[in-house]
Amino acid sequence: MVVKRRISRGKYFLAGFLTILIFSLGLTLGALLDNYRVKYIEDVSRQQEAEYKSLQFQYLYLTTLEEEGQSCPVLRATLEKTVNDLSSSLNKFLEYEKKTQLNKQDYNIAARMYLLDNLRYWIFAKKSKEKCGLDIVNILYFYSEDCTVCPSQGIILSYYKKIFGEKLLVFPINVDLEDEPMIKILLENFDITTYPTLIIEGKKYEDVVRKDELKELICSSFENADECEEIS
Amino acid sequence: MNWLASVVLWLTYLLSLYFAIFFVLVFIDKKTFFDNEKNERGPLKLKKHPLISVLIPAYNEEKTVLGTLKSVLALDYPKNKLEVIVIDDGSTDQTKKVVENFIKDKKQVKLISHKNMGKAASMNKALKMAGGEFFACLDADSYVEEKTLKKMLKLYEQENDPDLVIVTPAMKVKKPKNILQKIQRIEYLVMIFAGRLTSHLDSLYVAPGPFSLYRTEVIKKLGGFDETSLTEDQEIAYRVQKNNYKIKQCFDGYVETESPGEFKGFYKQRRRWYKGGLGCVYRYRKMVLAKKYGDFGLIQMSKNVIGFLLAISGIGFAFYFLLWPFLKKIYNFSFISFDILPYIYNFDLNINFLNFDFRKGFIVLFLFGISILFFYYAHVNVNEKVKKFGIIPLIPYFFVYYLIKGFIFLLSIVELVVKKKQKW
Repeated sequence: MVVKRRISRGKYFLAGFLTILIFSLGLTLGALLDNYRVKYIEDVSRQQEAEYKSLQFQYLYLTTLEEEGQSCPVLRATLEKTVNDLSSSLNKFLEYEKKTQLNKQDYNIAARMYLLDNLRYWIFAKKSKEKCGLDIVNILYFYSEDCTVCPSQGIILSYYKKIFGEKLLVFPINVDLEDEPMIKILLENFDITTYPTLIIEGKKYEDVVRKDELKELICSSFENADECEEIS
Repeated sequence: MNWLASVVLWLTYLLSLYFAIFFVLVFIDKKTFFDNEKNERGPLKLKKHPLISVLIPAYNEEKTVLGTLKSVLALDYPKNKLEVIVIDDGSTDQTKKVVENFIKDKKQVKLISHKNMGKAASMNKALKMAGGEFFACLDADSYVEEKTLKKMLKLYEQENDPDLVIVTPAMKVKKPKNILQKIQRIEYLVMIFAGRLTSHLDSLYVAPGPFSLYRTEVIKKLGGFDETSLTEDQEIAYRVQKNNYKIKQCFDGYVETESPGEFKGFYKQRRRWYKGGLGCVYRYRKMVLAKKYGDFGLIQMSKNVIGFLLAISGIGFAFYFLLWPFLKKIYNFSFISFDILPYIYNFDLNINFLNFDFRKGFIVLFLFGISILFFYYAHVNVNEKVKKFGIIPLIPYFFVYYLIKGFIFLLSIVELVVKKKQKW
């Protein structure tokens, strides 16, 4: 029995054509979006540059022209905003990095820029604290991507960041960025050999600092003990 | 590993997209898809009333068998042209007695009883006695609608093709009570619609157990039902396709069936379907991409094979992208003693359309759109409202049901592989 069965050849080709069409439409839109992302990252870093200039200026003004430190609240607000913007722009950057075809070099440069920004704000925060008597706690957080327990330290830190808000400033330092000489300087300076390591107001704590332990450390670093009272 | 996952992911998207678009094309090929077929059929008046045999295999179905039997006897068809054979497959409950009592005064119903030998074997035995030009099987947990037989025979008359040897019904879930049954009800409606599209391609690969109407002579010639297959209703359909006979769906020939209301029963049923399905695809693997079987070989068989692969990669990705990050999150929360209140108080919704992965998202959206379209027309197809049972069953249907099915599917594969190894 020879039966000629129907083959919907037209539909095969049309379906293939439409598939490729939709597929390439998606790719094109994706590429378009990549451009926006790169532009967005550039915009953000320009904005940050301006914020930093402003901060520097405020500090200069404060140290040279003012006696009483009346501008301290403004300085503090700017500092807080800039550090927050910095961390949210890092999150975005990491997110985009996953989805965008950024090359390794671009990524490294951006990550280094972020690290340096963090460090200069850290130094800035220390200086402002002295000058203005700000009741804030600064934490340097050294981590490595190979370290398996680091994410748990990360979540504990972000938990307290949520609770203390602007009173707690966390500066994450990714030590994998070997091209950056500053990392070497910091590691030697604080004699850091294991990860994670926290530097809380100049003192070093190795390995994961647990939730309750960290709360103690943060609270004892505040000058005004009331800061911790509302937290049970 | 990363690029491999990436390639598999893209292939999964592309193939899914291709098949989805293909079936959309099948759907829009016939303008006014739904009206046409009703008009073509015209009034339900048959030229001839051939003898029909209905086989009812029953194994421990004392509660449902009479309902099934009554639905057959209530069929809109001349009584003297309908013979019914109930096969008691070695039931250990009162099935036999219940039926015996019921059929005392009914000459057209016969009852045979034997030691338990399985459904396919029971049907083959009854098939030898069946005198009808056509025969149907009806599981003792299913109920046929009054007009279904006439609608099916009308389709045979309309097609007037001796190569048409199976007409399949449109199977619905009987009175869904709990959420699992309501979800299955939706699934069955979608399956009816998918069956209708597949019927247009002459590519049906299942002849559902409940009330598929077979041409007796040809099924006998092909050797009856396969007694080794877990899903003899799929196996017979594949065999019919392989021998270049035709299968058509009677789009409104409704049959209602009981669906499992508990997870355990559901799991067992699906495991049997998947294992049987895999067995069939494996047995008829030579038909894949074979031109001589037309659309069945080229599209349907490859869709069946790829469908299995897609299910595997789909469940893998669901695990990798949804479940794994979720578990990680839970694990992370253990470090802050699950005190997530600060996160809720200071929640900042950071939605930015730049965060959206457009390359894949575009395809996913498209696929989702097509599935919504088919979902909607699956309801139009049977004249039912989408929200007949509210919107609650729709949520698990769209978001978790297929994951669960995928998971059962994976388990079935594992079982199959392990069993094979034991045999060797």
